[in-house]
Amino acid sequence: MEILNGFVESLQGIWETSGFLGNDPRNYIMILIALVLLYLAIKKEFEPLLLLPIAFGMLLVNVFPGITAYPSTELQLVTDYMAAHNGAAGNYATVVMDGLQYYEIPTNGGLFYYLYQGVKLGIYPPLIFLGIGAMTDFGPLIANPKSFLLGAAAQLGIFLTFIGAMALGIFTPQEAGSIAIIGGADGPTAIYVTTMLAPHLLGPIAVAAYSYMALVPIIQPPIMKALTTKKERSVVMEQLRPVSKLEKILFPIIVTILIALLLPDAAPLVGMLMLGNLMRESGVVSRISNTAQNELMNIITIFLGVTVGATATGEVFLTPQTLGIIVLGLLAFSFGTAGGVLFGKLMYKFSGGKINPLIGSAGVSAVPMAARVSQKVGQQENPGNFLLMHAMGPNVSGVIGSAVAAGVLISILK
Amino acid sequence: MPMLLALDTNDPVVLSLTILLAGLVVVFLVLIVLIWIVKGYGTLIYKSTHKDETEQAPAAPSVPAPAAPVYAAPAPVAEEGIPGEVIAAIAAAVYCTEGVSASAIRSVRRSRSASRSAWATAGILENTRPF
Repeated sequence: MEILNGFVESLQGIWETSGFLGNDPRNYIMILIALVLLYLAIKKEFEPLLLLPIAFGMLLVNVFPGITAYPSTELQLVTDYMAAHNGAAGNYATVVMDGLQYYEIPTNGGLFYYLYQGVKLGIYPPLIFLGIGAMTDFGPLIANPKSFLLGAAAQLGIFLTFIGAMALGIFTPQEAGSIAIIGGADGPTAIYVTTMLAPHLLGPIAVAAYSYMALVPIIQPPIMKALTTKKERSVVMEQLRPVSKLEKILFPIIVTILIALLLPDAAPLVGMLMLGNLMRESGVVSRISNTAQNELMNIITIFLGVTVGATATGEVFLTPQTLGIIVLGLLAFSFGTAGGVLFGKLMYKFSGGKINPLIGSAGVSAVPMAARVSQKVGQQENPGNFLLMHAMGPNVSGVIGSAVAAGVLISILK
Repeated sequence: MPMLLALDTNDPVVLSLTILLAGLVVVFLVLIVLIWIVKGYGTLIYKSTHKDETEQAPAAPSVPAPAAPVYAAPAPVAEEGIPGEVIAAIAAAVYCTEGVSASAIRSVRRSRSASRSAWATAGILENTRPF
């Protein structure tokens, strides 16, 4: 009988501490959303490298919220502690309450609490930028420096979206700035700015930013076609000049000095991007360049993905604000694309028809997917037209442009 | 010091227009300065390289060229194990990209570079698209 009672009590204890009783009902909706995202990542292969860890982080935190728990302190009566440890005293701080002496025994936080520190302290995004820099060839940009202008014009989406977010009246300026940066189409930059300005919105903003980046091939082409004529889309651009190794080595050094001096808030992002690029172009540190491109990048991607996903709890995610963020994020992407294409049209006019305005849309970052979209849309008009390398100029310029825009937002709003 | 202190944050219109103006001006300004710098040092490097090439070039022969020269490029020196078809394909590719400025293929050898192959690079780009 005693064994049976013990058995029933054990089952009751397991049931009472299980997630079935303790979880917020909204968490179950989030679990469903996480399952849909997992389906999209695995079956449809929508950005699986990032969507899969994000979705699984989302799943885990909504099943077991304690995985993100802060470290805490438990109070235990000194007499109880000593009784349980054969009379040995503990090496803990003590506190006296109601005449009784307690030990303050520290307990560990959840796994994701510790992994999340890399996001919270702004460590992961610059490390991701290090890897991106080590993978990026700035040659097309150096060969055609005018591409910088397209990278700047495509940041229009960020600043117009800021106005839209403020006009809604439900966001603070810091929250509006974090939402607006989604228009930079740059995941690490969006996370970096949000951790600085509105860390409580990290989940919805990161999910919106990466979701829209996955949807660039669907969002951009209609805007590009609507704003250009068939003649403009058919322009075949001249071949880019070869770029010497010295030019490629000087580029990251000069960009770092200029931007870090002018906008110190953008220095962590731009500095790490350029460090990675210098490692690549110098050719003397191929071992660490390879590590930055592969192992480091993959490790940070896992940590970043699961912890960002873990910020999307039911309580935080299922709010009217999130809906606003999703809509504004789409507008930001669309305005950015339109800004780049319209500036491309301007350059088409001033260059006497030598520049294909389609490369302007690549200025939104989303490397190299946005450049591929320019190539694809251009080839629909002229199958013999290869815009990819021309579009890579504005594309990598967009990375620098969105980092500069991030620096502006942080310096004004922080 | 945060610039927000100097702005009227209670007026969303003022703040929004300030961000729009400051943001676009700073982004364009920084990138325009970068255009000048990149163009400037690109020109300098091109000129210095071009100058070196001119200095290294041998003096033009004083004897007149034959009236009807017959072009007969020497067969390229190929590394062992590279078949003739591959050399022909490389020569055709060089002609397609460089035109007549590359007058002859003098030697063909395998690259000793330790960098990853084009396929591996394409794989990495594919795997890192989200960023």
